Amino acid sequence: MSTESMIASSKAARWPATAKRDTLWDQIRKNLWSYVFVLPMLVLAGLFVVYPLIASIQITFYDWNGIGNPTRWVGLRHFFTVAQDPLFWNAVKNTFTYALVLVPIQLTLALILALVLNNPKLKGSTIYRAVYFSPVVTSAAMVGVVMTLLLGSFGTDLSVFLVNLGVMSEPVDWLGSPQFALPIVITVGIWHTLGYNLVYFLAALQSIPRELYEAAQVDGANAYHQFTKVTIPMLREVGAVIVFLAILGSLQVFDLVLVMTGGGPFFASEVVSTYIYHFAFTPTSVSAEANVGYASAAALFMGLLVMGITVGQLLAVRYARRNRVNDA
Amino acid sequence: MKNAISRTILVVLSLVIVSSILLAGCTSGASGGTGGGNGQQVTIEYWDWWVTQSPTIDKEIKLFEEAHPNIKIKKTTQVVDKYPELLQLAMKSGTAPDVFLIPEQPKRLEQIQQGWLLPLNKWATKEWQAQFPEGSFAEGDNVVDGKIYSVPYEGTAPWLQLYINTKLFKQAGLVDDKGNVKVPQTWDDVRSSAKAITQSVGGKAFGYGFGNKQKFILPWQLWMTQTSGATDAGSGMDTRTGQYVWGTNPVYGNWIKFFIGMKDDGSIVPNAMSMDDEMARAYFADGKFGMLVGGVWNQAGWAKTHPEFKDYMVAPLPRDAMAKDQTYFYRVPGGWGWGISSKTKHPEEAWLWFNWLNSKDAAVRWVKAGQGLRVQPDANKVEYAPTPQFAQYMQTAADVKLAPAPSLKHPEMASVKEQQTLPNIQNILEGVYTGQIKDYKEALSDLESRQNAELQRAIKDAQQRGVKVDPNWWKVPNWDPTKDYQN
Repeated sequence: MSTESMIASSKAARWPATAKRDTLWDQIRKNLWSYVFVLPMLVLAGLFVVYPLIASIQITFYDWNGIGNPTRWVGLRHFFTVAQDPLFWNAVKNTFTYALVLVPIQLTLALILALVLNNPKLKGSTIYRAVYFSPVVTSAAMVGVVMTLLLGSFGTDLSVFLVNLGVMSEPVDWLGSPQFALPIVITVGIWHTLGYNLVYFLAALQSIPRELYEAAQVDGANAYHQFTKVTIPMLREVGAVIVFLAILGSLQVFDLVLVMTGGGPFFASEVVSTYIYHFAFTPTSVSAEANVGYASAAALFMGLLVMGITVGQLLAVRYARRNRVNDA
Repeated sequence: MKNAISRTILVVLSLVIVSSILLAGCTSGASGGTGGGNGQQVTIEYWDWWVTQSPTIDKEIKLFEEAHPNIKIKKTTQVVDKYPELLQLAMKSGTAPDVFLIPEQPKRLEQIQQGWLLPLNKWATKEWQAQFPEGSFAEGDNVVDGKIYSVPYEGTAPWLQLYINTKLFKQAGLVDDKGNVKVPQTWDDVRSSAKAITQSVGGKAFGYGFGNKQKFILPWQLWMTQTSGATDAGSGMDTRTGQYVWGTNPVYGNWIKFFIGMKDDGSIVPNAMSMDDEMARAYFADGKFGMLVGGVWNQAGWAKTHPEFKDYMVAPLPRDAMAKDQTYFYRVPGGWGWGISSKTKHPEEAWLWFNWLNSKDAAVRWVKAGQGLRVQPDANKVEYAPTPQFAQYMQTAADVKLAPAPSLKHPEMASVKEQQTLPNIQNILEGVYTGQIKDYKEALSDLESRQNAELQRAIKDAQQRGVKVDPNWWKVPNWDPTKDYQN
């Protein structure tokens, strides 16, 4: 049996193509305890995620400052205003820039690190895993504050030092610069959530049967071929989920941006979440009303956009999976 | 079997935790008070947003608790730029503090209409009111339909001043024949002084600084226009015309030109856009830049964080030497400070704390601590000034004049709800400062048009809702900004 056919049979065993599908009720009965364990999370998600989402749809049709009950009906006006606001599209552009730069770099780094940490010959891999995972357990707000302090207070010294070295002509305000603000937030974002994807990849790598590598070695495959012919094909399914989650997570970036730059300077790092926030909670220095209705409309607009992307991704993954199973 | 038991325990535990969270959310009381009456221990929840004033408030709490052993004050200092949201959420969830500093947003009238504030008439008798200067209570402002909701605590002085690091000024040779620091009087003075400081220390310090991370700090710098022709540098409104005049009044554009010129000189600390105001204050005290715009709270802040720092002085905000019109800092009748929640379970104890905070004794201690002037004139004696710098601040109080307050005659104006139009003035200042906006005049004119259009829309919207408002109410054409206006 060649390595390719072993991979095919290994996948077929994991994702049988012709197995009769159980109904949802059958599945619940079979895995009752699993569903019981999931239930509290479902209840909480329903209360704090699904309900507010649905409730906010109604608000999008009103001018409402968040106090009392919404009474000033405006119909679809907010949606038209959002669609015509260049600042909203600037925020959309920044959000997608964040995702499109962060996801490939972070996933590549996470995969490389996972491959290194998965090497059984590596001493102290548990310590390395803990070190790489530690930023994830630190709150984004805390990371943002620390990074701001590092770049804000010591940034001047760094800038002056670089000017003295002749690297730059004048000092740079790292987070106050339209050129640097978003790239720095992206860099911190990559570092902050790298651990998640590292752990996902590590789990996926450890689920690849050792026999496949042994068979590949017998077939004469070197390390490169083992990676391209065994690791990559076996990671494809999980990899698609990791990409999917990474894109969704990065499109929702909020706390890091709010704490580090507040979306500035002059919207240079404004993402959709901070755009929404700025309308829902008007700054105290501005003598104008907050408009939760408008903010909700912007949120729904973006939500539909992301939902469209998610559905597209799901269909693409399903299509690819079906093709592979059929090929097998 | 063992696994089954463990799973059962886990499930039960999970359900207990979830139920506890939900129940905790549902049962939190409207007030943090415990006990009450008949000598029982009562806890009064108190909120403000004061950081540098915190030691003085803590001292008041200590004195109050000594005088009232059965009342405990639980203070929470909230972050200033999130305070209105946090208070609003607390009001909604029934966890409002008993006594709190009343924020500007949402509009005070709306706070009253929403029933957030307790009328104080039961305790605020004529005799009690008499301890405050005339004009402290104004129908349409802190009194609505005869019900008193608050009383101002602050004395009248320009709320922003120019702080000068005298050590850096002297190092740069910015002194007169007698060796006294040459205080910048005009924008040009500020620019030339800043340049001289930056050049004198070879990049180790800068002439001017600010910390715009909180976003509202750049608009603070714009208050330099207040004495140079702007009648309201905060909002851009000119009460004489009832219009926003960001573009029409040249003072705003002139100031931007001056400020960007100072930046182009390399005289402003480079990380001004990303550090916050607290950090900027520390930098100033550490001698990293020579001039800072801020309020009197700076002084108490330095006393706390840099007790050795004395090499600074206070001056009025500089003005444009070329300005045609002379304007002033203004005040209007009424005013706000602390309030009592209408939901408090301990109104009597809450009033005792409210009254303590507004008492003349507390006011004197406030002034002696260098926290600022208080509304009671007797508390603002020069001999109470704890430092020479505070005495300098006291001298600026004479520069405040009475301005028209049309909303006192027409409280319905509060029903006109203007919505935010972006980019606002703080966004525009950011954009100009970072070079993202090249044509600041066009940006100011655009802001003026958008805000005036929004005002008209909001007036029409109020009229359609049945509120009788007249656009002419916004105009006070006979106001002479160089004189006190009798409302």
